[in-house]
Amino acid sequence: MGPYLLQRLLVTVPTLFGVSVLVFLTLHLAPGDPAQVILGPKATETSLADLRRDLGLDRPIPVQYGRWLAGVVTGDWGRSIQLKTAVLPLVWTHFKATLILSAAAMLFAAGSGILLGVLSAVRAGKLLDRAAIVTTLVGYSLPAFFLGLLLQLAFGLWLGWFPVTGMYQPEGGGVLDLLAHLVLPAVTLAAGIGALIARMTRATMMEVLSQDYVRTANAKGLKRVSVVFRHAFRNAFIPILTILGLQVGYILGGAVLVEEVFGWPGVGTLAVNAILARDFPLVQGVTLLVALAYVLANLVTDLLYTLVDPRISYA
Amino acid sequence: MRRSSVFFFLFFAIGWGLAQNESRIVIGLQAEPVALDPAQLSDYNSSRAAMPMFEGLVRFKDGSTELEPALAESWEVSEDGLTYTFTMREGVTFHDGTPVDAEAAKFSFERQIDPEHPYHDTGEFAYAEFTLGMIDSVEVQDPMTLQVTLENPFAPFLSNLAMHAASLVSPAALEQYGRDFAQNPVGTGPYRFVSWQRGTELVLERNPDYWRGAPEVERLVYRPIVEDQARLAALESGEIDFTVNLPVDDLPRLREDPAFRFEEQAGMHTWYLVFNVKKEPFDDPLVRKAVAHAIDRQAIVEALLGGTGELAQNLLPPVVWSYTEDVEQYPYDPERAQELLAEAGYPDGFEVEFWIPQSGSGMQQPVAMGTVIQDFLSRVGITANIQQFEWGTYLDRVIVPEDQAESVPAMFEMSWVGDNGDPDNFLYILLSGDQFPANGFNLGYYNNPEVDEILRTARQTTDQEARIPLYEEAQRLLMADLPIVPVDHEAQIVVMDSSIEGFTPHPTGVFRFETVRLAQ
Repeated sequence: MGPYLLQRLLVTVPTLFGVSVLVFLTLHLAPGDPAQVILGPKATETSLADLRRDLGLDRPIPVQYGRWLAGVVTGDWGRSIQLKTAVLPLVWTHFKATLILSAAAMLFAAGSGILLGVLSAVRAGKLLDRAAIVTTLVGYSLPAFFLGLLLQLAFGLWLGWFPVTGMYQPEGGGVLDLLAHLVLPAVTLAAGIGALIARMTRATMMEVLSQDYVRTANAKGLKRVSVVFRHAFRNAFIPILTILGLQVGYILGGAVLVEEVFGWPGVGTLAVNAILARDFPLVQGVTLLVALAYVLANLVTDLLYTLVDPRISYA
Repeated sequence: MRRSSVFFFLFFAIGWGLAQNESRIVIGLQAEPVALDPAQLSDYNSSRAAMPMFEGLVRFKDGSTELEPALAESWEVSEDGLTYTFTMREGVTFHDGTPVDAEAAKFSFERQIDPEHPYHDTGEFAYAEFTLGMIDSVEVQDPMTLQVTLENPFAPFLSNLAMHAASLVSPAALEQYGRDFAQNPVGTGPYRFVSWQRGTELVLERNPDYWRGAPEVERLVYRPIVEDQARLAALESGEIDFTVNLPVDDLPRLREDPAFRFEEQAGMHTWYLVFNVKKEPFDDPLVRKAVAHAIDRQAIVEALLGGTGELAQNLLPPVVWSYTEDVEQYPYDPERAQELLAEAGYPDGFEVEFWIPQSGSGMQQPVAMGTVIQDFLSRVGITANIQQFEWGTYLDRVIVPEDQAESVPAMFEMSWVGDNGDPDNFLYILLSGDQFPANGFNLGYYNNPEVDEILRTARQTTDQEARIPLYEEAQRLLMADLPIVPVDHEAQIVVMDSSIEGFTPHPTGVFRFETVRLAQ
């Protein structure tokens, strides 16, 4: 376990390095001058040249990259060109908001997806199963932004149950305020993944439920709940866990859209604006943090396998 | 989740909201403000959030671009138009308690224009050259008297002093915060800084010591909500009280709703087509006029922009003084367009490059407008080949010096938002022969010595009454030669909760809340 963990963590380093080189090159090869974007159409040639020099944009690209990398290693992620403030605290604040939204969506998607999948496998072919199939199909097919608008309309404007934008009340705070603001965006973000998990769970559960040992357990007279959850579900959970791990990337990507729809102050909006403004240090910072999160999430998934299935071990 | 718990925290949230709700306006911005340093403002969201905290020596009157005294009580201009002597207002302090004096004004200007100034490295001053670049020297004659000398006579100078970049900032605060002043702004305005959580909210509170009297509304909260549809939802659900730029299709419905109040004003803005007059066929005024007659601009304004713009008869917007409609008009007339084309030697039309950006500040709906224009042109035989660019790239490609004029397309879209309310800020910068890039913004390289002479004289004449006829003549000459086709002036449409009373839009686009009250 120890050596495996160390090895995985070491692999993370070249992965992040590769990601940062790719992003750096893509940004610098794309046309568009950050100085022009910052100063706008009314800037003079002198002020543009001054700014390019201040930002180090007149240096060769390898030198710019080297400087940036040296900074990152020492904890200085640079200053956002556009927002004129240090990158690390800025990205971290927004990233926390995205994490909260993603985690809530993941919990909701996993909880509702698994429950629906199991129920529908147990009641295969019955009304509940058919209803679940239709629900998951709709959930999976509806684009997040459209579902978001529908939920805003229904639960925000008509029923008035939940706030429709932002993370807190103006000048607000506190967990309850946050939860109220979290419901609609988290459900929106969770819908597609929840539906996928439900269908996946149903399929694997159907397969497991038809196996001999389940029939044996039933024949022994074990309670239905115990058979389904203790015996069958445990074996069905491995492929579901894989899907969950893979969906972390999807959630972080989908969060961008959902954040726009709900005015959620996450990393998505920050990243989009940073790219449009050619804000190199900020785009680099966001990418690095998101890549790190993705790599770590996959690592955690792999480690979870050992907990769910004792046969898997990385010793 | 159990329904009871939903209701539980809703009650909690509502209770919280009510407790906080005394005399506060929540403003929905289109994007996160970039910085709150008045010397570094170059977009509406930042200036709308920052400008309630700042003022300059002079200010624009409410609802207009006429000037009135602000931190300078009075001023004198020398005969030759070179020296301005300001008497500072007594007893005004910055929000940090330090006094407002001539030293502070000198500091605020020189920080931006003097590269040797110890605080020059505290920001990127996009507007410094434009606003204050004509200053030769700034002298403190005594603590309350400031003398500014210009390099050349420049009539719009006083108007420039009402612009954001000429606002006075607290030298003590800059000393304390350095580059982070943009996150910790200290000025003299009716509101002062409380807190800023990036991406979430910016909070200002009223300045009880404001020299014109403390405002009635106690707190302003700015929330960035990028998506127009989300901002609309937030307004309708009462999460914000005040916003701009809502989706055009929803405006008629909101107008019917007594819960909302509308305030509108044609802005200091012009959307126009630029001709590269260095290239055939637009070196010929007849062809330029043919294009103007071929496009149904009224239809664009009504059908496409849904009344969020006003048809432009002239490059100058109507809110800028000296505006005249006594200029040659180009109504929609495809037959006249074809006659003009035949007269110019293009009876069968021609093919031409037409560049448009995908989006951009002040560009309204650049793609839809470009496509409609392309269609109108095709009806008179002109084939316009559209090429789209991302905004940053677009600016790079169309703002190029004269020696690279060949790389600029024959025709492209552009817009201009006025800065100081002076006609010079449109006519001279956009169409004078002295203002080819990188000096200015004459992107089509139009050069008319007769117009140039008038515009030069007008910018050096300090008497405004004497300047009016000069600008009227310039507008007539320009519209008769038509180096650009003005299409519309975008309206500022502000929608607010009907409890907000006394708000007047300002042509500069900033929001002034010091005159606003909340009805009970």
